[in-house]
Amino acid sequence: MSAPLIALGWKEILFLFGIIIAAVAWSGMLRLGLSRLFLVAATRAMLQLGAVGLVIGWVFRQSEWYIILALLSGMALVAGYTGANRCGVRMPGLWLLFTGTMGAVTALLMLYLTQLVLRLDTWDPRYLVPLGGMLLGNVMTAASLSVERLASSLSKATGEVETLLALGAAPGRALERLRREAIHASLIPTLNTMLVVGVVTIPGMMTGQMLGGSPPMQAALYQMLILFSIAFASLLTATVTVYRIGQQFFTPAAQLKRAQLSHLN
Amino acid sequence: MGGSREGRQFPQVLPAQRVRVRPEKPLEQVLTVPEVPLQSFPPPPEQVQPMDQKSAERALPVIHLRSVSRRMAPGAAPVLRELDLSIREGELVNVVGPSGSGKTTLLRLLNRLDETDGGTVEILGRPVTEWPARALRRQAAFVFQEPVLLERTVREELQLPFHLWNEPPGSPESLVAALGAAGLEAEFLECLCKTLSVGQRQRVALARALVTRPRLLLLDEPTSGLDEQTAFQLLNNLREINRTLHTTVVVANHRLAEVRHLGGRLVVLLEGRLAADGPVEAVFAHPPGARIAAFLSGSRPNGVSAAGPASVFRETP
Repeated sequence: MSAPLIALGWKEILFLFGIIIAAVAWSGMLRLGLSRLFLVAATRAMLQLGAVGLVIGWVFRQSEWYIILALLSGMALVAGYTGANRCGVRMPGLWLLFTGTMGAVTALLMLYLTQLVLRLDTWDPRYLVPLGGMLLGNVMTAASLSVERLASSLSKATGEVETLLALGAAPGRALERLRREAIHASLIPTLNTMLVVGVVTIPGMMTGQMLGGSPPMQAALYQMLILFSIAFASLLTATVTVYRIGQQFFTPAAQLKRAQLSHLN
Repeated sequence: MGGSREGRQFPQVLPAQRVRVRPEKPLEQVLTVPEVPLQSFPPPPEQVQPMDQKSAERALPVIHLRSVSRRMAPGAAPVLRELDLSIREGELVNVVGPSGSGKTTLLRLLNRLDETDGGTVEILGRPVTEWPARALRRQAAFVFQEPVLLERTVREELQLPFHLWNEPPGSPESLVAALGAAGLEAEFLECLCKTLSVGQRQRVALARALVTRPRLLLLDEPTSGLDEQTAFQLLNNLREINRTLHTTVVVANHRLAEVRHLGGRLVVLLEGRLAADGPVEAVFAHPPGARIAAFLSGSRPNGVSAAGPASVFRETP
Protein backbone atom coordinates (compact mmCIF):
# COMPACT_ATOMS: atom_id res chain seq x y z
CA MET A 1 0.00 0.00 0.00
CA SER A 2 1.14 3.49 -0.73
CA ALA A 3 1.95 5.94 2.06
CA PRO A 4 -0.81 8.32 3.16
CA LEU A 5 -0.85 11.73 1.48
CA ILE A 6 1.60 14.23 3.01
CA ALA A 7 -0.55 16.64 4.97
CA LEU A 8 -0.34 20.32 4.10
CA GLY A 9 -0.87 22.80 6.94
CA TRP A 10 -1.07 26.58 7.12
CA LYS A 11 2.70 26.70 7.74
CA GLU A 12 3.34 24.96 4.44
CA ILE A 13 0.98 27.33 2.64
CA LEU A 14 2.94 30.30 4.02
CA PHE A 15 5.99 28.84 2.32
CA LEU A 16 3.98 28.78 -0.91
CA PHE A 17 3.08 32.42 -0.38
CA GLY A 18 6.81 33.01 -0.62
CA ILE A 19 6.57 32.06 -4.30
CA ILE A 20 3.84 34.66 -4.78
CA ILE A 21 5.96 37.31 -3.05
CA ALA A 22 8.78 36.45 -5.45
CA ALA A 23 6.41 36.79 -8.38
CA VAL A 24 5.18 40.15 -7.08
CA ALA A 25 8.76 41.38 -6.76
CA TRP A 26 9.68 40.15 -10.20
CA SER A 27 6.64 41.65 -11.94
CA GLY A 28 7.38 44.90 -10.08
CA MET A 29 10.89 44.90 -11.48
CA LEU A 30 9.56 44.31 -14.99
CA ARG A 31 6.94 47.06 -14.45
CA LEU A 32 4.15 44.80 -15.60
CA GLY A 33 1.65 46.56 -13.35
CA LEU A 34 0.62 43.17 -12.05
CA SER A 35 1.96 43.28 -8.48
CA ARG A 36 -1.31 44.33 -6.92
CA LEU A 37 -3.36 41.88 -8.96
CA PHE A 38 -0.96 39.07 -8.05
CA LEU A 39 -1.49 39.73 -4.35
CA VAL A 40 -5.25 40.17 -4.61
CA ALA A 41 -5.63 37.05 -6.72
CA ALA A 42 -3.46 34.93 -4.43
CA THR A 43 -5.28 36.17 -1.33
CA ARG A 44 -8.67 35.56 -2.90
CA ALA A 45 -7.67 32.08 -4.00
CA MET A 46 -6.46 31.30 -0.49
CA LEU A 47 -9.60 32.57 1.21
CA GLN A 48 -12.01 31.02 -1.30
CA LEU A 49 -10.35 27.63 -1.31
CA GLY A 50 -9.98 27.71 2.46
CA ALA A 51 -13.70 28.45 2.82
CA VAL A 52 -14.64 25.74 0.35
CA GLY A 53 -12.35 23.32 2.19
CA LEU A 54 -14.13 24.12 5.42
CA VAL A 55 -17.64 23.87 3.92
CA ILE A 56 -16.99 20.67 2.03
CA GLY A 57 -15.11 19.27 5.00
CA TRP A 58 -18.19 19.86 7.08
CA VAL A 59 -20.50 18.44 4.40
CA PHE A 60 -18.29 15.35 4.11
CA ARG A 61 -18.91 14.59 7.78
CA GLN A 62 -22.68 14.72 7.24
CA SER A 63 -24.72 12.13 5.49
CA GLU A 64 -28.13 13.83 5.54
CA TRP A 65 -29.45 13.92 2.01
CA TYR A 66 -30.82 17.45 2.33
CA ILE A 67 -27.46 18.97 3.19
CA ILE A 68 -25.84 17.44 0.11
CA LEU A 69 -28.81 18.41 -2.03
CA ALA A 70 -28.67 21.98 -0.71
CA LEU A 71 -24.97 22.25 -1.55
CA LEU A 72 -25.50 20.87 -5.07
CA SER A 73 -28.48 23.17 -5.61
CA GLY A 74 -26.41 26.16 -4.53
CA MET A 75 -23.74 25.13 -7.01
CA ALA A 76 -26.36 24.79 -9.77
CA LEU A 77 -27.67 28.27 -8.94
CA VAL A 78 -24.22 29.84 -9.18
CA ALA A 79 -23.49 27.93 -12.39
CA GLY A 80 -26.82 29.01 -13.92
CA TYR A 81 -26.32 32.62 -12.93
CA THR A 82 -22.73 32.74 -14.17
CA GLY A 83 -23.56 30.97 -17.42
CA ALA A 84 -26.50 33.30 -18.10
CA ASN A 85 -24.29 36.33 -17.52
CA ARG A 86 -21.56 35.12 -19.81
CA CYS A 87 -23.52 34.04 -22.88
CA GLY A 88 -23.94 37.52 -24.32
CA VAL A 89 -27.75 37.36 -24.39
CA ARG A 90 -29.90 39.45 -22.08
CA MET A 91 -33.25 37.89 -21.46
CA PRO A 92 -35.51 38.01 -18.43
CA GLY A 93 -35.45 34.70 -16.58
CA LEU A 94 -32.48 33.39 -18.52
CA TRP A 95 -30.61 32.45 -15.33
CA LEU A 96 -33.62 30.45 -14.22
CA LEU A 97 -33.73 28.55 -17.51
CA PHE A 98 -29.99 27.91 -17.27
CA THR A 99 -30.16 26.78 -13.64
CA GLY A 100 -33.18 24.59 -14.31
CA THR A 101 -31.68 22.93 -17.37
CA MET A 102 -28.25 22.39 -15.81
CA GLY A 103 -29.80 21.12 -12.58
CA ALA A 104 -32.10 18.70 -14.36
CA VAL A 105 -29.41 17.36 -16.69
CA THR A 106 -26.93 16.97 -13.83
CA ALA A 107 -29.54 15.25 -11.68
CA LEU A 108 -30.33 12.84 -14.50
CA LEU A 109 -26.67 11.96 -15.03
CA MET A 110 -26.05 11.62 -11.29
CA LEU A 111 -28.98 9.28 -11.01
CA TYR A 112 -27.56 7.13 -13.79
CA LEU A 113 -24.04 7.18 -12.34
CA THR A 114 -24.97 6.49 -8.73
CA GLN A 115 -27.64 3.89 -9.40
CA LEU A 116 -26.34 1.97 -12.39
CA VAL A 117 -22.59 2.58 -12.49
CA LEU A 118 -21.39 3.18 -8.92
CA ARG A 119 -24.40 1.53 -7.25
CA LEU A 120 -24.27 3.78 -4.21
CA ASP A 121 -26.84 2.92 -1.60
CA THR A 122 -26.29 5.94 0.63
CA TRP A 123 -26.01 9.68 0.07
CA ASP A 124 -22.24 9.69 0.10
CA PRO A 125 -20.90 13.25 -0.28
CA ARG A 126 -17.47 11.93 -1.23
CA TYR A 127 -18.90 10.87 -4.61
CA LEU A 128 -21.87 13.18 -5.04
CA VAL A 129 -20.19 16.53 -4.44
CA PRO A 130 -17.17 16.24 -6.78
CA LEU A 131 -19.15 14.49 -9.53
CA GLY A 132 -21.94 17.05 -9.32
CA GLY A 133 -19.48 19.93 -9.33
CA MET A 134 -17.63 18.71 -12.38
CA LEU A 135 -20.83 18.04 -14.31
CA LEU A 136 -22.25 21.46 -13.43
CA GLY A 137 -19.07 23.27 -14.40
CA ASN A 138 -18.98 21.63 -17.79
CA VAL A 139 -22.66 21.89 -18.67
CA MET A 140 -22.42 25.57 -17.78
CA THR A 141 -19.79 26.01 -20.47
CA ALA A 142 -21.88 24.06 -22.97
CA ALA A 143 -25.01 26.09 -22.23
CA SER A 144 -23.39 29.50 -22.52
CA LEU A 145 -21.33 28.58 -25.58
CA SER A 146 -24.37 27.24 -27.42
CA VAL A 147 -26.55 30.24 -26.63
CA GLU A 148 -23.78 32.66 -27.49
CA ARG A 149 -23.28 31.01 -30.85
CA LEU A 150 -27.01 30.81 -31.59
CA ALA A 151 -27.52 34.51 -30.89
CA SER A 152 -24.48 35.68 -32.80
CA SER A 153 -25.21 33.57 -35.87
CA LEU A 154 -28.87 34.58 -35.76
CA SER A 155 -27.98 38.25 -35.73
CA LYS A 156 -25.84 37.67 -38.80
CA ALA A 157 -28.39 35.51 -40.60
CA THR A 158 -31.63 37.43 -40.16
CA GLY A 159 -31.99 37.46 -43.94
CA GLU A 160 -31.91 33.68 -44.12
CA VAL A 161 -34.31 33.23 -41.21
CA GLU A 162 -36.81 35.81 -42.47
CA THR A 163 -36.63 34.36 -45.99
CA LEU A 164 -37.65 31.00 -44.58
CA LEU A 165 -40.41 32.58 -42.49
CA ALA A 166 -41.68 34.45 -45.54
CA LEU A 167 -41.79 31.18 -47.47
CA GLY A 168 -44.05 29.76 -44.78
CA ALA A 169 -41.55 27.98 -42.56
CA ALA A 170 -42.36 27.55 -38.89
CA PRO A 171 -39.85 29.31 -36.60
CA GLY A 172 -38.35 25.98 -35.61
CA ARG A 173 -37.66 25.11 -39.22
CA ALA A 174 -36.31 28.58 -39.98
CA LEU A 175 -33.83 28.19 -37.15
CA GLU A 176 -32.88 24.57 -37.82
CA ARG A 177 -29.48 25.16 -39.42
CA LEU A 178 -28.41 27.76 -36.84
CA ARG A 179 -29.54 25.54 -33.99
CA ARG A 180 -27.50 22.63 -35.25
CA GLU A 181 -24.49 24.89 -35.69
CA ALA A 182 -24.83 26.22 -32.13
CA ILE A 183 -25.02 22.75 -30.56
CA HIS A 184 -22.05 21.68 -32.66
CA ALA A 185 -19.98 24.66 -31.51
CA SER A 186 -20.74 24.07 -27.85
CA LEU A 187 -19.48 20.48 -27.97
CA ILE A 188 -16.12 21.19 -29.58
CA PRO A 189 -14.24 21.89 -26.29
CA THR A 190 -15.51 18.69 -24.67
CA LEU A 191 -14.69 16.57 -27.69
CA ASN A 192 -11.25 18.15 -28.04
CA THR A 193 -10.52 17.33 -24.40
CA MET A 194 -11.54 13.72 -24.96
CA LEU A 195 -9.32 13.49 -28.03
CA VAL A 196 -6.11 14.51 -26.29
CA VAL A 197 -6.76 13.47 -22.70
CA GLY A 198 -3.82 11.61 -21.19
CA VAL A 199 -1.57 12.46 -24.13
CA VAL A 200 -1.36 16.22 -23.71
CA THR A 201 -2.86 16.64 -20.25
CA ILE A 202 -3.49 14.56 -17.17
CA PRO A 203 -6.85 15.79 -15.91
CA GLY A 204 -7.14 17.31 -12.44
CA MET A 205 -9.41 14.67 -11.03
CA MET A 206 -7.15 11.83 -12.11
CA THR A 207 -4.10 13.65 -10.71
CA GLY A 208 -5.90 14.22 -7.45
CA GLN A 209 -6.93 10.61 -7.16
CA MET A 210 -3.40 9.40 -7.79
CA LEU A 211 -2.04 11.86 -5.22
CA GLY A 212 -4.65 10.49 -2.85
CA GLY A 213 -3.24 7.02 -3.33
CA SER A 214 -5.59 5.44 -5.88
CA PRO A 215 -4.07 3.00 -8.34
CA PRO A 216 -3.52 4.92 -11.62
CA MET A 217 -5.74 2.49 -13.56
CA GLN A 218 -8.64 3.13 -11.18
CA ALA A 219 -8.03 6.85 -11.49
CA ALA A 220 -8.08 6.50 -15.29
CA LEU A 221 -11.35 4.60 -15.19
CA TYR A 222 -12.91 7.28 -12.99
CA GLN A 223 -11.70 9.89 -15.44
CA MET A 224 -13.45 8.04 -18.26
CA LEU A 225 -16.63 7.90 -16.25
CA ILE A 226 -16.58 11.63 -15.74
CA LEU A 227 -15.54 12.45 -19.34
CA PHE A 228 -18.27 10.34 -20.90
CA SER A 229 -20.82 11.79 -18.51
CA ILE A 230 -19.70 15.32 -19.34
CA ALA A 231 -19.94 14.66 -23.07
CA PHE A 232 -23.49 13.36 -22.79
CA ALA A 233 -24.58 16.03 -20.30
CA SER A 234 -23.13 18.80 -22.49
CA LEU A 235 -24.99 17.56 -25.55
CA LEU A 236 -28.25 17.33 -23.62
CA THR A 237 -27.84 20.77 -22.05
CA ALA A 238 -26.89 22.47 -25.31
CA THR A 239 -29.86 20.90 -27.09
CA VAL A 240 -32.39 21.92 -24.46
CA THR A 241 -31.10 25.49 -24.05
CA VAL A 242 -30.77 26.09 -27.78
CA TYR A 243 -34.35 24.94 -28.37
CA ARG A 244 -35.77 26.94 -25.48
CA ILE A 245 -33.78 30.09 -26.23
CA GLY A 246 -34.44 29.78 -29.96
CA GLN A 247 -38.18 30.09 -29.33
CA GLN A 248 -37.59 33.32 -27.44
CA PHE A 249 -36.43 35.06 -30.60
CA PHE A 250 -39.84 34.67 -32.24
CA THR A 251 -43.31 35.99 -31.50
CA PRO A 252 -46.32 33.65 -31.47
CA ALA A 253 -47.14 35.02 -34.95
CA ALA A 254 -43.82 33.61 -36.26
CA GLN A 255 -42.09 36.99 -36.45
CA LEU A 256 -38.41 37.35 -35.78
CA LYS A 257 -37.85 39.78 -32.88
CA ARG A 258 -35.25 41.82 -34.68
CA ALA A 259 -35.12 44.50 -31.99
CA GLN A 260 -33.89 41.91 -29.51
CA LEU A 261 -31.01 40.98 -31.78
CA SER A 262 -29.95 44.50 -32.60
CA HIS A 263 -27.98 44.99 -29.37
CA LEU A 264 -25.85 41.96 -30.19
CA ASN A 265 -23.87 43.59 -32.95
CA MET B 1 -62.04 33.29 -65.64
CA GLY B 2 -62.63 37.02 -65.84
CA GLY B 3 -66.41 36.67 -65.55
CA SER B 4 -66.29 34.52 -62.43
CA ARG B 5 -63.98 36.84 -60.60
CA GLU B 6 -66.60 39.25 -59.32
CA GLY B 7 -68.49 36.41 -57.74
CA ARG B 8 -65.50 35.09 -55.88
CA GLN B 9 -65.84 35.17 -52.17
CA PHE B 10 -63.04 35.72 -49.75
CA PRO B 11 -61.50 33.15 -47.47
CA GLN B 12 -63.55 33.62 -44.34
CA VAL B 13 -66.57 32.08 -46.09
CA LEU B 14 -64.70 29.53 -48.16
CA PRO B 15 -64.61 25.92 -47.05
CA ALA B 16 -61.27 24.74 -45.87
CA GLN B 17 -59.61 23.07 -48.77
CA ARG B 18 -56.90 21.22 -46.92
CA VAL B 19 -56.28 20.89 -43.26
CA ARG B 20 -52.79 19.88 -42.30
CA VAL B 21 -52.45 18.18 -39.00
CA ARG B 22 -49.17 16.84 -37.78
CA PRO B 23 -49.64 15.71 -34.22
CA GLU B 24 -45.98 16.13 -33.29
CA LYS B 25 -46.01 19.76 -34.35
CA PRO B 26 -48.83 21.58 -32.58
CA LEU B 27 -48.16 24.84 -34.42
CA GLU B 28 -49.31 23.31 -37.65
CA GLN B 29 -52.59 22.09 -36.28
CA VAL B 30 -54.06 25.53 -36.62
CA LEU B 31 -53.19 25.82 -40.27
CA THR B 32 -56.08 25.88 -42.63
CA VAL B 33 -55.14 26.91 -46.08
CA PRO B 34 -57.79 29.03 -47.73
CA GLU B 35 -58.81 27.91 -51.16
CA VAL B 36 -56.58 29.03 -53.96
CA PRO B 37 -58.30 29.65 -57.28
CA LEU B 38 -57.54 26.72 -59.48
CA GLN B 39 -56.00 28.12 -62.57
CA SER B 40 -53.32 26.20 -64.31
CA PHE B 41 -49.90 27.72 -64.07
CA PRO B 42 -49.40 29.45 -66.43
CA PRO B 43 -53.02 29.75 -67.52
CA PRO B 44 -53.89 28.39 -70.96
CA PRO B 45 -53.73 31.11 -73.62
CA GLU B 46 -57.50 31.49 -73.90
CA GLN B 47 -57.69 32.43 -70.23
CA VAL B 48 -55.04 35.09 -70.51
CA GLN B 49 -56.84 38.36 -70.61
CA PRO B 50 -55.63 41.52 -69.01
CA MET B 51 -57.97 42.82 -66.41
CA ASP B 52 -59.84 45.69 -67.94
CA GLN B 53 -60.44 48.91 -66.10
CA LYS B 54 -64.01 48.07 -65.10
CA SER B 55 -63.43 44.65 -63.62
CA ALA B 56 -60.42 46.02 -61.76
CA GLU B 57 -62.68 48.59 -60.15
CA ARG B 58 -65.22 45.97 -59.18
CA ALA B 59 -62.63 43.62 -57.70
CA LEU B 60 -62.59 43.35 -53.93
CA PRO B 61 -59.72 44.84 -51.97
CA VAL B 62 -57.04 42.23 -51.34
CA ILE B 63 -55.11 44.66 -49.16
CA HIS B 64 -56.90 47.04 -46.88
CA LEU B 65 -55.08 49.23 -44.38
CA ARG B 66 -56.97 51.34 -41.90
CA SER B 67 -55.11 53.97 -39.94
CA VAL B 68 -51.98 51.85 -39.72
CA SER B 69 -49.08 53.08 -37.61
CA ARG B 70 -45.75 51.50 -36.97
CA ARG B 71 -42.75 52.60 -34.96
CA MET B 72 -39.47 50.73 -34.78
CA ALA B 73 -39.15 51.03 -30.99
CA PRO B 74 -41.43 52.23 -28.21
CA GLY B 75 -41.12 55.99 -28.01
CA ALA B 76 -39.39 56.34 -31.39
CA ALA B 77 -40.84 58.48 -34.15
CA PRO B 78 -43.37 56.47 -36.15
CA VAL B 79 -42.25 55.10 -39.51
CA LEU B 80 -45.84 54.84 -40.71
CA ARG B 81 -48.46 57.32 -39.51
CA GLU B 82 -52.15 56.48 -39.67
CA LEU B 83 -51.89 55.09 -43.17
CA ASP B 84 -55.07 54.25 -45.08
CA LEU B 85 -54.65 52.27 -48.26
CA SER B 86 -56.75 49.91 -50.30
CA ILE B 87 -55.45 47.71 -53.09
CA ARG B 88 -57.75 45.66 -55.26
CA GLU B 89 -57.20 42.22 -56.68
CA GLY B 90 -55.07 42.25 -59.81
CA GLU B 91 -53.61 45.71 -59.31
CA LEU B 92 -50.00 46.58 -60.08
CA VAL B 93 -48.84 49.03 -57.44
CA ASN B 94 -45.60 50.99 -57.10
CA VAL B 95 -44.80 52.18 -53.59
CA VAL B 96 -42.45 55.09 -53.89
CA GLY B 97 -40.75 57.46 -51.50
CA PRO B 98 -37.33 58.58 -50.37
CA SER B 99 -35.41 56.14 -48.20
CA GLY B 100 -36.80 56.07 -44.69
CA SER B 101 -40.30 56.93 -45.86
CA GLY B 102 -41.71 53.57 -44.77
CA LYS B 103 -41.81 51.52 -47.98
CA THR B 104 -40.16 48.41 -46.56
CA THR B 105 -42.01 48.80 -43.28
CA LEU B 106 -45.31 48.85 -45.17
CA LEU B 107 -44.51 45.72 -47.17
CA ARG B 108 -43.38 43.85 -44.05
CA LEU B 109 -46.76 44.51 -42.44
CA LEU B 110 -48.61 42.97 -45.38
CA ASN B 111 -47.42 39.43 -44.70
CA ARG B 112 -47.02 40.12 -41.02
CA LEU B 113 -43.26 39.87 -40.78
CA ASP B 114 -43.80 42.82 -38.43
CA GLU B 115 -46.68 43.90 -36.23
CA THR B 116 -48.57 47.17 -36.50
CA ASP B 117 -48.59 49.58 -33.57
CA GLY B 118 -52.09 50.72 -34.39
CA GLY B 119 -54.77 50.25 -37.03
CA THR B 120 -55.67 47.11 -38.92
CA VAL B 121 -54.23 45.36 -41.92
CA GLU B 122 -56.67 43.17 -43.81
CA ILE B 123 -55.45 40.72 -46.41
CA LEU B 124 -58.00 38.99 -48.63
CA GLY B 125 -60.78 40.35 -46.46
CA ARG B 126 -59.39 39.07 -43.20
CA PRO B 127 -57.33 40.90 -40.58
CA VAL B 128 -53.75 39.60 -40.53
CA THR B 129 -54.11 38.94 -36.81
CA GLU B 130 -56.76 36.33 -37.60
CA TRP B 131 -54.67 34.56 -40.21
CA PRO B 132 -52.38 31.73 -39.22
CA ALA B 133 -49.07 33.42 -40.01
CA ARG B 134 -47.82 30.66 -42.27
CA ALA B 135 -51.00 30.49 -44.34
CA LEU B 136 -50.95 34.28 -44.76
CA ARG B 137 -47.38 34.20 -46.00
CA ARG B 138 -48.28 31.58 -48.54
CA GLN B 139 -50.92 33.90 -50.00
CA ALA B 140 -48.75 37.00 -49.74
CA ALA B 141 -45.30 36.08 -51.03
CA PHE B 142 -42.40 38.36 -50.20
CA VAL B 143 -39.28 38.94 -52.28
CA PHE B 144 -36.56 40.63 -50.25
CA GLN B 145 -34.28 43.39 -51.45
CA GLU B 146 -31.27 41.13 -51.03
CA PRO B 147 -32.31 37.66 -52.10
CA VAL B 148 -31.09 34.79 -49.92
CA LEU B 149 -30.88 31.47 -51.71
CA LEU B 150 -30.66 28.57 -49.30
CA GLU B 151 -30.25 25.43 -51.36
CA ARG B 152 -27.57 24.01 -53.62
CA THR B 153 -29.26 24.07 -57.02
CA VAL B 154 -32.00 26.20 -58.49
CA ARG B 155 -34.24 23.14 -58.70
CA GLU B 156 -33.85 22.48 -54.98
CA GLU B 157 -34.43 26.15 -54.31
CA LEU B 158 -37.76 26.05 -56.14
CA GLN B 159 -38.76 22.87 -54.31
CA LEU B 160 -38.04 24.48 -50.96
CA PRO B 161 -41.52 26.01 -50.47
CA PHE B 162 -43.17 22.63 -51.08
CA HIS B 163 -40.68 21.06 -48.73
CA LEU B 164 -41.47 23.61 -46.03
CA TRP B 165 -45.16 22.83 -46.39
CA ASN B 166 -44.61 19.07 -46.30
CA GLU B 167 -46.14 18.77 -49.71
CA PRO B 168 -45.19 16.52 -52.59
CA PRO B 169 -42.52 18.16 -54.77
CA GLY B 170 -43.71 20.53 -57.46
CA SER B 171 -43.94 19.07 -60.96
CA PRO B 172 -41.08 19.87 -63.35
CA GLU B 173 -43.55 21.82 -65.50
CA SER B 174 -44.57 24.04 -62.61
CA LEU B 175 -40.94 24.76 -61.78
CA VAL B 176 -40.16 25.64 -65.39
CA ALA B 177 -43.29 27.81 -65.56
CA ALA B 178 -42.30 29.71 -62.43
CA LEU B 179 -38.76 30.17 -63.76
CA GLY B 180 -40.19 31.36 -67.07
CA ALA B 181 -42.47 33.86 -65.36
CA ALA B 182 -39.42 35.20 -63.56
CA GLY B 183 -37.57 35.48 -66.87
CA LEU B 184 -35.21 32.49 -66.69
CA GLU B 185 -34.96 29.57 -69.09
CA ALA B 186 -35.53 25.97 -68.04
CA GLU B 187 -31.79 25.21 -68.25
CA PHE B 188 -31.28 27.20 -65.06
CA LEU B 189 -32.94 24.41 -63.05
CA GLU B 190 -29.67 22.51 -62.78
CA CYS B 191 -27.51 25.56 -62.06
CA LEU B 192 -25.75 25.89 -58.74
CA CYS B 193 -27.14 28.83 -56.79
CA LYS B 194 -23.61 29.93 -55.89
CA THR B 195 -22.71 30.54 -59.53
CA LEU B 196 -25.63 32.87 -60.32
CA SER B 197 -25.30 36.61 -60.91
CA VAL B 198 -27.15 39.12 -58.73
CA GLY B 199 -29.87 39.52 -61.33
CA GLN B 200 -30.28 35.77 -61.73
CA ARG B 201 -30.44 35.33 -57.97
CA GLN B 202 -33.19 37.93 -57.77
CA ARG B 203 -35.07 36.07 -60.50
CA VAL B 204 -34.69 32.72 -58.75
CA ALA B 205 -36.02 34.35 -55.56
CA LEU B 206 -38.97 35.65 -57.60
CA ALA B 207 -39.59 32.20 -59.10
CA ARG B 208 -39.39 30.66 -55.62
CA ALA B 209 -42.06 33.09 -54.46
CA LEU B 210 -44.25 32.30 -57.49
CA VAL B 211 -43.98 28.54 -57.44
CA THR B 212 -46.69 28.11 -54.80
CA ARG B 213 -48.90 30.57 -56.72
CA PRO B 214 -49.54 33.32 -54.21
CA ARG B 215 -52.42 35.76 -54.70
CA LEU B 216 -50.19 38.65 -53.69
CA LEU B 217 -46.62 39.34 -54.63
CA LEU B 218 -44.71 41.83 -52.47
CA LEU B 219 -41.31 42.99 -53.70
CA ASP B 220 -38.96 45.21 -51.75
CA GLU B 221 -36.73 47.15 -54.15
CA PRO B 222 -36.21 44.08 -56.35
CA THR B 223 -34.02 46.00 -58.81
CA SER B 224 -31.67 47.61 -56.31
CA GLY B 225 -28.66 45.47 -57.19
CA LEU B 226 -29.31 45.36 -60.93
CA ASP B 227 -28.03 47.35 -63.88
CA GLU B 228 -30.58 49.42 -65.77
CA GLN B 229 -31.24 46.96 -68.56
CA THR B 230 -31.65 43.95 -66.26
CA ALA B 231 -33.86 46.02 -63.98
CA PHE B 232 -36.21 46.96 -66.82
CA GLN B 233 -36.38 43.34 -67.96
CA LEU B 234 -37.30 42.22 -64.46
CA LEU B 235 -40.02 44.85 -64.32
CA ASN B 236 -41.36 43.58 -67.66
CA ASN B 237 -41.57 40.12 -66.12
CA LEU B 238 -43.48 41.55 -63.16
CA ARG B 239 -45.94 43.25 -65.48
CA GLU B 240 -46.46 39.95 -67.33
CA ILE B 241 -47.02 38.09 -64.06
CA ASN B 242 -49.60 40.67 -63.09
CA ARG B 243 -51.30 40.58 -66.48
CA THR B 244 -51.39 36.86 -67.15
CA LEU B 245 -51.72 35.40 -63.66
CA HIS B 246 -53.78 38.26 -62.20
CA THR B 247 -51.41 38.25 -59.25
CA THR B 248 -51.66 41.46 -57.28
CA VAL B 249 -48.17 42.95 -57.35
CA VAL B 250 -46.86 45.56 -54.91
CA VAL B 251 -43.35 46.84 -55.63
CA ALA B 252 -41.41 49.19 -53.38
CA ASN B 253 -39.03 51.21 -55.52
CA HIS B 254 -37.28 54.53 -55.30
CA ARG B 255 -36.12 54.78 -58.89
CA LEU B 256 -38.67 56.89 -60.66
CA ALA B 257 -37.61 55.92 -64.18
CA GLU B 258 -38.36 52.31 -63.32
CA VAL B 259 -41.70 53.24 -61.81
CA ARG B 260 -42.73 55.00 -65.01
CA HIS B 261 -41.51 52.02 -67.02
CA LEU B 262 -43.54 49.56 -64.97
CA GLY B 263 -46.73 51.67 -64.94
CA GLY B 264 -49.88 50.80 -63.04
CA ARG B 265 -50.70 52.58 -59.82
CA LEU B 266 -48.40 54.86 -57.87
CA VAL B 267 -48.51 55.30 -54.13
CA VAL B 268 -46.14 57.95 -52.77
CA LEU B 269 -45.10 57.80 -49.12
CA LEU B 270 -43.55 60.81 -47.45
CA GLU B 271 -42.44 60.44 -43.85
CA GLY B 272 -44.80 57.56 -43.29
CA ARG B 273 -47.87 59.30 -44.70
CA LEU B 274 -49.72 58.63 -47.92
CA ALA B 275 -48.75 61.66 -49.98
CA ALA B 276 -50.11 60.76 -53.40
CA ASP B 277 -52.06 57.92 -54.94
CA GLY B 278 -53.19 57.34 -58.51
CA PRO B 279 -52.22 56.02 -61.93
CA VAL B 280 -48.48 56.48 -62.45
CA GLU B 281 -48.63 58.94 -65.32
CA ALA B 282 -51.46 60.93 -63.75
CA VAL B 283 -49.50 61.43 -60.54
CA PHE B 284 -46.39 62.42 -62.49
CA ALA B 285 -48.44 64.86 -64.61
CA HIS B 286 -50.31 66.41 -61.70
CA PRO B 287 -48.41 65.86 -58.48
CA PRO B 288 -50.52 66.98 -55.51
CA GLY B 289 -48.39 69.59 -53.79
CA ALA B 290 -44.97 71.09 -54.16
CA ARG B 291 -43.01 68.55 -52.16
CA ILE B 292 -44.30 65.64 -54.18
CA ALA B 293 -43.65 67.56 -57.39
CA ALA B 294 -40.11 68.17 -56.18
CA PHE B 295 -39.64 64.52 -55.32
CA LEU B 296 -41.07 63.29 -58.59
CA SER B 297 -38.95 65.67 -60.62
CA GLY B 298 -35.85 65.32 -58.48
CA SER B 299 -34.83 62.04 -60.05
CA ARG B 300 -36.71 62.20 -63.30
CA PRO B 301 -35.04 59.91 -65.86
CA ASN B 302 -33.83 62.65 -68.20
CA GLY B 303 -32.96 65.29 -65.64
CA VAL B 304 -31.49 63.85 -62.50
CA SER B 305 -30.75 66.82 -60.29
CA ALA B 306 -27.16 67.24 -59.26
CA ALA B 307 -27.91 67.06 -55.56
CA GLY B 308 -30.07 63.97 -55.94
CA PRO B 309 -33.54 63.40 -54.60
CA ALA B 310 -32.61 63.21 -50.92
CA SER B 311 -31.64 66.87 -50.78
CA VAL B 312 -35.16 67.87 -51.69
CA PHE B 313 -36.33 66.81 -48.26
CA ARG B 314 -33.91 68.83 -46.25
CA GLU B 315 -36.14 71.83 -46.72
CA THR B 316 -38.48 72.44 -43.84
CA PRO B 317 -42.06 73.21 -44.72
